[in-house]
Parts: sequence; structure tokens; C-alpha cells
Amino acid sequence: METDLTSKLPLGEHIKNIGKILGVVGELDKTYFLHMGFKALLDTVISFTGLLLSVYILDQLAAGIHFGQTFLVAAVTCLMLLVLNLGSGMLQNRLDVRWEIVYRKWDSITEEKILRMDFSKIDDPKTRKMKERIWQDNNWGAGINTVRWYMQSIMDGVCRMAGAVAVGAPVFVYVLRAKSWIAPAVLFVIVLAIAVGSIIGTRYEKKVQEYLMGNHIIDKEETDEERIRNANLVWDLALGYGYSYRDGKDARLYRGYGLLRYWSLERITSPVLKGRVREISLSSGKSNFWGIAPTGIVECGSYLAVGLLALAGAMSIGSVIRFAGCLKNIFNTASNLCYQFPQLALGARRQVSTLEFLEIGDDMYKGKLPLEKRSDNQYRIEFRDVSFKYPNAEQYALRHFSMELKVGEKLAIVGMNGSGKTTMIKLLCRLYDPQEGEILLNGVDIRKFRHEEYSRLFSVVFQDYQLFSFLLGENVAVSADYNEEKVRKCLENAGFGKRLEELPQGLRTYVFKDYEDGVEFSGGEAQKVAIARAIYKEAPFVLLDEPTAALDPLAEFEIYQRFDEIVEDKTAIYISHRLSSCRFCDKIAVFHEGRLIQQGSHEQLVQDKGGKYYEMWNAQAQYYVEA
Amino acid sequence: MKKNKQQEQTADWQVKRHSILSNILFWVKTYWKWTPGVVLLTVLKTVLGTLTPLVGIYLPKLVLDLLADNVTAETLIRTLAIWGILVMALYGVNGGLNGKYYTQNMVRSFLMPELYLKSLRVSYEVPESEWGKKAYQAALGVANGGDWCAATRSFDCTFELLQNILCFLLYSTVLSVLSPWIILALTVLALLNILVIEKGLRFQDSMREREALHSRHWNYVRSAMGNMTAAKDVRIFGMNAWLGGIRDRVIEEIQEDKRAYQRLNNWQHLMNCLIGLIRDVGAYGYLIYSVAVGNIGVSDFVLYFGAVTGFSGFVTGLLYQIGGLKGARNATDYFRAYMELPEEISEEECMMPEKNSTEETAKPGCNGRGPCIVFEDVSFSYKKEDGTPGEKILEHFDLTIAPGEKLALVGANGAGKTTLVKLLCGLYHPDGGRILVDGRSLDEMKPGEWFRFLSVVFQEQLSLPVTIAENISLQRREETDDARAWEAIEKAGLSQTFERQKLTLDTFLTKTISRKGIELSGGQRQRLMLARALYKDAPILVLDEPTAALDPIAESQVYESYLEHSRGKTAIFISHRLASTRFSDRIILLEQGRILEEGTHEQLMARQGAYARMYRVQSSYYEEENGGMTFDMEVE
Repeated sequence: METDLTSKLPLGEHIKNIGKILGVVGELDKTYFLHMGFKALLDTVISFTGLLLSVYILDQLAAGIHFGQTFLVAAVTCLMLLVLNLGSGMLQNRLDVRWEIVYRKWDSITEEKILRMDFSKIDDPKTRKMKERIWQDNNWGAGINTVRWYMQSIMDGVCRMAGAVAVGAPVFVYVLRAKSWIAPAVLFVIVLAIAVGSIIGTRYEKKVQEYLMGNHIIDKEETDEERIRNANLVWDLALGYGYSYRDGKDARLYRGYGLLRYWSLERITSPVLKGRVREISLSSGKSNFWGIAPTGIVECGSYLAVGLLALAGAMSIGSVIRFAGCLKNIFNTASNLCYQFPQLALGARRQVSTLEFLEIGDDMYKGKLPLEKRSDNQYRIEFRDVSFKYPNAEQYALRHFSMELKVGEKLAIVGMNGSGKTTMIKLLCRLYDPQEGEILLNGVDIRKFRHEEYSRLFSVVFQDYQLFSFLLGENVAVSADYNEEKVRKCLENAGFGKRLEELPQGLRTYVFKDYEDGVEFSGGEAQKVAIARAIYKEAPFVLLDEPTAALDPLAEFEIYQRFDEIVEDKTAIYISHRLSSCRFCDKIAVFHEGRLIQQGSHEQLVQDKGGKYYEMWNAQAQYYVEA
Repeated sequence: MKKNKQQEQTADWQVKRHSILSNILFWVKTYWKWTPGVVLLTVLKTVLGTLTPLVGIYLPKLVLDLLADNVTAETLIRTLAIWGILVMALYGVNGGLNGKYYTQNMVRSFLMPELYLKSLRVSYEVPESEWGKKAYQAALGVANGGDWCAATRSFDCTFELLQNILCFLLYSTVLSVLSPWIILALTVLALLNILVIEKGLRFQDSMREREALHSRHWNYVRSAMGNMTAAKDVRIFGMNAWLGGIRDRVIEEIQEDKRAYQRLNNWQHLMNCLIGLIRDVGAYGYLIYSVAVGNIGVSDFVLYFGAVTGFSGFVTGLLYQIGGLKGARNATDYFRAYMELPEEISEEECMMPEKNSTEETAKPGCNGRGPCIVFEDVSFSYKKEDGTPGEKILEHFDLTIAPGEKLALVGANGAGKTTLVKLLCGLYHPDGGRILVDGRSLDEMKPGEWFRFLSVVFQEQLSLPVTIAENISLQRREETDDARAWEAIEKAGLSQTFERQKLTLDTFLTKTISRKGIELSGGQRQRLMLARALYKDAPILVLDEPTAALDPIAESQVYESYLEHSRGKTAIFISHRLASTRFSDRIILLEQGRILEEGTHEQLMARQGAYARMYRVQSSYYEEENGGMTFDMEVE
């Protein structure tokens, strides 16, 4: 992965980058660039036909020829141009629509990858770095659209150049035959002006890019101090990324206004930052000046050169216009191409990180063994001396952990925050593989089973479960088509029945207001929907991670009462801070610092007065024991 | 007097519509305020931009005239060299002025924090209301959306409009030499053109809502697919097919929109081509005829033909720019309306340094144990989007909180507990009745003054990716009292965490700003917020569900430390877990905005009412004898 977009890159690398990007676009729409090229050709024909028409008219007029014939030619040509123009315009409109698919697919490439990549890779610092890189690469400019624009302008330019050379070819014969050196000298001056302008202009443009992407605005190579010094929270706060109007309560009550003002307005209007932006403006202005000023010389120089040739030898008025027009086209196009090629290369280079993201490989062994589908749900799970630490973590989240789970068992897991409860669930579902030890399903290492088949065994309601702002029914079924009756039943079982009746759109209600103007559900209600989703899956293992945290006591009671019904004869694991839930489980496992330290029924565990369970139980129960 | 205030508030919630001219002035003034240089440069660019197109049509005429006069090579060189330098300067400077883009663009990133900070100075009712949320989002449109944001578009369109008007006048002058009728004919054609464009703009208007919805769909579906928190759910439930399918559906929706545009564009293009054909054929006919009969010279043909083709561009340009200004109007109006909302606390008051809090508690009427708070016949309802009151949350509500009292608020979700706290804090104002603090009505007090009495931990917490010190004090780093901050950390039970993770007051929260930042767990964050409340050390302490994310032992610690922190203070505790009520002098059970039961734990248990029922449900799990379970809940 590259670190700096402004660094020098050999030409071959640039061509490879462009080729890669065009290759992927080509996969999304095979003939897109072909048709784009055709359109460029069409436009060139239109443009030079127009020029030649003026030339013809001027020559006719200069020769003092009859009105009727000249006008007729003009009218017929205009009509012909109309047809070509219509074709070109319609082709462009069609291309715009086709591009939309390319653009959207490209725009969601990383998200699509996130849906499918190894879970352990998602949180990997390397992945995070790459995502940041992609974000940076797309922060300025228009992403893949930039590539399209410059491809289009380059194709236009190349066609135009070819057209101008073809139509204006005789002028070079004139130049070569010219007795005086002045006309060739003028052409030389033009070339010189373009070259100088483009060199100086590019230098300033590079400075602009450096400012934008380099050390000054955003750059991951900054030291931490620089990062802190340059950071501001304008976008986060104002646009509500991770913040909301609700924060206004704290801001008011704790007089946080000054602090928030400091991190937003004061940071972004700081004289240092303003000064930098002014420098960017200045550099960009200079770059533009040097890039554009030579066109003034092209404009006048072309007329001068052709004018000199006309003075030296016989040349019609029309030819003057024709050759001057062609020269202008040749020089201006050349000067534009000088600018457009590097821009295309840069645009493509900025998209390389996106493609690299696609190439992140999966480490997890996906398994080949088909999973025996058992209608009797006879599954037995065993953790055998499992140790695991999260990528980049120093401490083990689970250490020499062994445990057995029997079919139909209701297991409660309790423990302090950070004792490894949720980690154990993640390992069980194979979101991660343990570094040491193994997890066995009916005696076979779970890594040997086909991954997606193995995943079907589990229904989980995580603590930080997510609902999506799509239809309620789809959220439960996790699919666009679903069995309405079944979804309804699952929602009822999860205690959402009454609320469902109140919804006029029923299952076709949109959840939240992000996607459509749907219904905001309270934390408790959303949790019930998540539970319904877990029920709908009908997996033989049901895992609930703190499912009642957002519920009030009565709702909690309701859920507890239904718990039994919900899990039926399935194997259930239940994590909760409210130890009261343990009373409903066959077995309670007490986790502490990544180990299983106690196991047994509530009655057994509560006997052990020196144990962790007793300590925790008492911490809660003391408030409820009648004085 | 109270009623008036109410009506005033409602009236504010109508967005005043401004004329295009008024908005133009507003934006020019706004840009002038932030970067006067950019405004001046833009004026210069407008003038140069008017002259630039003229060069292209005048130069060929000039050369042809010179050639016709059979000048010497020397004259030709001299003339064109001078022109070359002028044109180069004109083009170069005109192009170079584009560099102002970055400085101009900066202004819109100033507008965002301005709007955000304004939302902190108005009454909290505004940002939390449906109207306020909508208005804020709409107002963000001035700065959000890249070069299409209302601030950029308004400014650019204004000067492009001016430039087009100047060009129109200039070209009219050139063409009127030939014949005033031409201007008339061209104007008629341009009007035809305008009809075509108008139809397009109307179509765009009709599509706007759909497009906005679809782009919202797109942004959401993308964020849903890339949502890292959901990644676990995605894998367990195999959601990729579902989410991928929705994405494809959204692309199809957007495609549909684009196809509608394609049809419109094809039609528009056809019309433009036809109008162009009439214009060109007409112009050729008239100009060829004029040359043929000797009215104008051959070289004039080039000049006038160029002027004719350019002319219609300026007329249609006017329409586009007015369309652009109209498009920016909604966001501008909302922004102006939002920025003109009456402020509860002025900028100056907000920026005043914090007074010593011990000084505050010694204020008259405050006997060191917190003031006496009385809810007198209070009614309240949240406002609907149009500013009219919605369903009553509290009705004729009376409550007296004695100085130093420990109060527990319990009740089901939606019973009005949090609303009550918001009223108490002065974040909301009652529709009827009043809230008295030591006999003084809250409405008579400045909100900033009353806020000093309160330390509140809300369910949703504002934690910033800045230093821990700043998060605790919510003041700037240099204004934070380190000793007090450490004391608060200790009291909130965070000392161990700090020691184990080697945290300092200068450690950043999260890695957003500093790479060395730390991530706190939910429980640790909750304690940090408690530390914030303790740092402030106000005479009234309010805790709203502070133990939801804590394990049993931590929860118990919070209860115990709560007792200690609230010593000598008025304290209000909201919790689902009824155990917390044991520490309170009085328990208030709320149901649908009314006090259903109140009293001490013992009194309420003796009443055998709703509270006792709720308590039993919860405590039954903890009772050792199974006999405590009065309800049937068997596990095989």
C-alpha cells in the first residue's frame, strides 16, 4: 500500500493503475469506453464540419458568388449537423444512465467486501488503516467519476487533435515552404509558451495536491502531536456523526459551550488553518494562471502565424479561418492533454486503494465437511483448553478455557464486565478461531465444517445487536420474502405482539427513520424485535447476550416468562448482569478473567460462600431481602 | 405574560420565506464577513469573464481586416503581439482567479459550527422538537453537499447571473449596430429555449423529493452494509444476500430516476437542436444576404455570426442561474430562520468563565443543602412539528422536593420520568403552572443561572474524542482544575481503571483524534459521566439510569457511593431496578405523568399497591425460598 500520493511513480506503474481501474469498470460495463470513444469521434466530426462550413461560406462571399447557392449549402449542412448532434446527445444521455450502475457498484465495493470478509479481518488494524486510506483518497475529487471525466476529455482531445491535423494538414506544407522564418518562429513560441506554462502550472498544482493530501490537511504520517493540533470536530458535531441534539443537555448543564466552540469553530477558523487554505488558494491560482495564460498566446499566435503565411502567399480568407482554427485546436488540445493525462493517472491512483481492499484475503479455514442435519437437534459442544486473545490485544480474553454444552441445556453465564462472556460466544459462533485449543461439535473440530452450514446452528442476540431501517418483517426474517404468519408469531413470542397491533402498516412498517420515515422504537421494543429475529431463525442454539438491559422490570418479567417458550427444546446460553435470570437455567457458569471458575445450579453455587457467584448474587440480592 | 411567550415560540416555528434578492444580499454579506477578499476577487472575475468570450469572436475579424488592408508583416506582428499579451493576461488572470475556490469553500465549513453552536444557545426544546430537527437538517443544506450546497451555489449563481447580464448588454450593443430586429428575433428564440428549460426545471423540481429519498436510501444502505457493529449479526444471520439485494434494488430505483432524466434530456436536446437550427439557418441567411448586398464586410460576418451563437447562451444562462438561486432558497431560508431564533443564553454568557461553585452554593436561598423545589400545578406536552402542543405528558402535576431530600423516581418506560427531570433542569418550560425554586419561578431565572445548581447524568452521554480532563470538566483543558478532576475520578470509582491502563488526564478518549487514545467500556464510560457530575459538585444531583451497563458488583458500588456523593445534597435517582429505592427518603411511582404512589419503601410495601407488586416481581428472583415466586415460571 502506498503512503503518499504525491510521490513519484514510474510511468509503467501509472499505466498499470489506469489499466486496472479500466479493467474493473470494463467488467461492470463492457462497452462503456468503446461507446464513449465513438461519441468523441462524432463530436469531432460535428465540430470540424461546422468549421469547414464557415470556411466555405467565407470563400464564397469573398469571391462574390450568388446568395442562393451559398445559403442552400449552409442550410443543408445545418440540417446534417442537426442529425449528428441529436445522435451525439442521445448517446451521451444513454451513457449517463449506464454510468450510474458502474458508479454505484464501485461506490459500494468496500461495503460489499465488509459483508463477506472474515469477521476477524474487519476489526484488524490493517483493514482499518486501509479504510482510512480509501477515505482519504476519496476525500477530495470525485472518486471513480474523476477517472470517467478525464477518460472522456482525453478521448475527446485525441479525436479533436486527429481531426485538426487532418483538416489543417496543408498549413504545415505552407509553413515548410515559407521563405521567412517568422511564421515557424511564432509556432515555436506557442509551443514554448505551452511547455513553460504547463511545467510551472503542474508544479503549483502539485503543491496544491501536497497541501490537500500531504502533511497539512490530512495525512496519516503525521505525528500524534500534529494530528491533535490539526484536528477539529466540526463535521462530527454539526452533522451528528456519533453525536446528536441530545448532547445539548450536557452542553447546557455543564457549561460545555466553550469547549465545543473551541473544538469546532475556533479550531476551523484558526489563523493557522486559514493561512494554509490561503496558501492553497494562491498555489491553485498560480497553477491556473500558468495553465490558462498560454491559451491567450495560442489564440493570437495562431492568427499571427496564419496571417503571416497569408501575407507571403496567396491564401483565401476561408483558409485563414480554417488553418487558424486548426492550429488553435491542435495547440489547445495538446496543452489540455498535458494536464489531463497526469490528472487521469492521479485519479486512477486514488482508486487503487479501493481495489486493494478487495484483495484482502480470508485467513479462516472455511471447512469442507458437510454438517449433518439433525431433526432431533442432537448437538454437543465442547470447548477444550481454549485460549484466545483479540488481534492486537496483549491480554488473553479466554485462557485455558474448557466447558461442555449438552443438548437441550439452558446455561447461564455470569461474570464481571470483561470476564470473557461475550468472547466465548464469538468463538462458539466461529466469528473468531481460538489461537490454542479446539472447539468440538459432536467430537469434531468445528473448523472442519463448512462455515456457512455451521453458522446456521446459531441464533444470537448480541448486546449491541443491530436492526436495520428496513421493513419490520424483513428485519425479523432477514430476507425480502418471508412467511408473514411465522414472523408475526415470532414477534408475539418475543413480547412485541401488542405493539405490532398498534402499527397501522403492521409488518410493512419501516423501522426507524433513516431509510424511510418509519417508526422510532424504544430500546426495549427494538430488543424484542431482535429477539424475534433470533426465534425466526429456528437454530438449535439460542444465545442471548444481555437481552433485557433496556427493559423495565415488567417487560423484563415478561421476557423471562417467555424465555422457556422461546427456546423450547433448544440449547440456550444466556448472559445477564441480572443474576435473577440464572434461576431459570439448568446450569450456571461463572466466568472470571477469561476462565471458567465455577459451574453448577444456583442452589449449589450459592452455597459456596467464598465463591464469586455468592459475592455477585449478594451484591444484588441484598437490596431485595426484606428488612 | 406567560401565554405571550408561548405564542411567540409558535410563531418562531414558521420559516420566513425570503425573496431571491434578500437571500443574495444575505450571502454576499455572509461571505463579506468571513472573507472580504473572495468577494472582491469574484467581482473582478465577473468583469473579466464578461470580456473573455468577446476576444474569440473579435480576433478573427481583426485579422481578416488587417489582411484585407494588406498591412505589412511588421504591423501584423506588432498588432497581434500587443493583443497576445493582453489576451494572455486576460485569460491567465481570469483563470487564476479560480484559485479563490479553496478560500471561498472554507466559508461553508464555518457555517456548520455556527449553526451547531446556535443550536446550543437556543432553548433545548428547539433542537429536540420535530420542527427543530427538521429545520436543523434543512439548514445544514447551506453547507452540506459539496459544491451543490446552498452557500456555494447562491454565491456562484449570483455572480454568474451578473456576468450573464453584462454579457447580454454587451452583445446586444454589438448586434444592435447590425439591426435591432436581430436582437428581437434572438430574444424570441431564447424565450422558446427558456420554455424548454423551464419544463426541465419543473421536472427537476418534481423529481427532487424522489431523488432525495433515493439518495437517502443509497447512503443508508451503504452505511448498513459497512456497519461494523452489525457485522456479527450479518454473519450469524447470513444477512449478506438480503442487504446486497436491497442495495441492488436501490440502484434500480436510482437507475429509474436517471432513465426519466434520459427521456427528458433527449426531448430537451431535440428541442434545443431544432431551435438552434432555426437560429443558425436564419443567421446564415441574413448574414450571407447582408454581405452579398454589401451591407457588411466579409470579416464582419465572422464577428456577427459568433455574436449570434453566443447571445442565446447568455439568455438561457440567466434562467439557469435563477433556477440555481431558487434551488438554494429552502436551505437558506431555514438557515436564516434558525440563526434568528431567540437565544436563551447569549454567546457572551456562554463564554463567561465558570464561577467558583462553592460561591454559588452560598447564594441566598441556598442553605448548602440545595434549594426547595416546588412543582405547582404543572402541565406539559411536547410540541408537534407545526409547533402545536401534542399529547399531555404531565397534567396538573404537584410535587415538592425538600432541601437535601433523596428522591427515587420509578415507573415503566414512558411514564414521564425523564420529562420530569428535563422540566426540573429548566431544559423545558411547563405549558401551565410553574416550577418554584426557593419561591422563585424558574421562568424568572436565567437558564444559565439555574444550570449551575445541577449535576445531571443522563442516559445518553456526551463523550468527546478529546482528553479525559476535558470530558470530565467539559471545560477547556487549561480551565480544568486537575486536583478536582482526580478527586472526581476517585469518587466515581475509576482510580483502578486509571492505574491499570496508565491513563492520565491528558489521555484522549477513542482514537479519533489521537492515535494513543483509549476505548472505554460502557461501564467505564458511565462512571466517567458520574465523575463529570461529581466534578461539578452542584447542590442537586440527578442520576438517570446510571447502572444499566454495569455488572452486579459495580452496580452495588454505584449505589453505595451514591449515598456518599449525595450527602448534603438534593438527589434524584431514576432506575428500573427498584433496589435503588432503598436509599431514598421518598419514592415516587409515576404512571402516565401522574404520581400513582409515593412514600418510603416501607410505606409503599405496606400499601400493597403497584409499587409493592413491581418490587415483588423483581425481588422474587432473589428470594431464597421458592415460595416467594407467586407466579408460575417453571423450568424443566
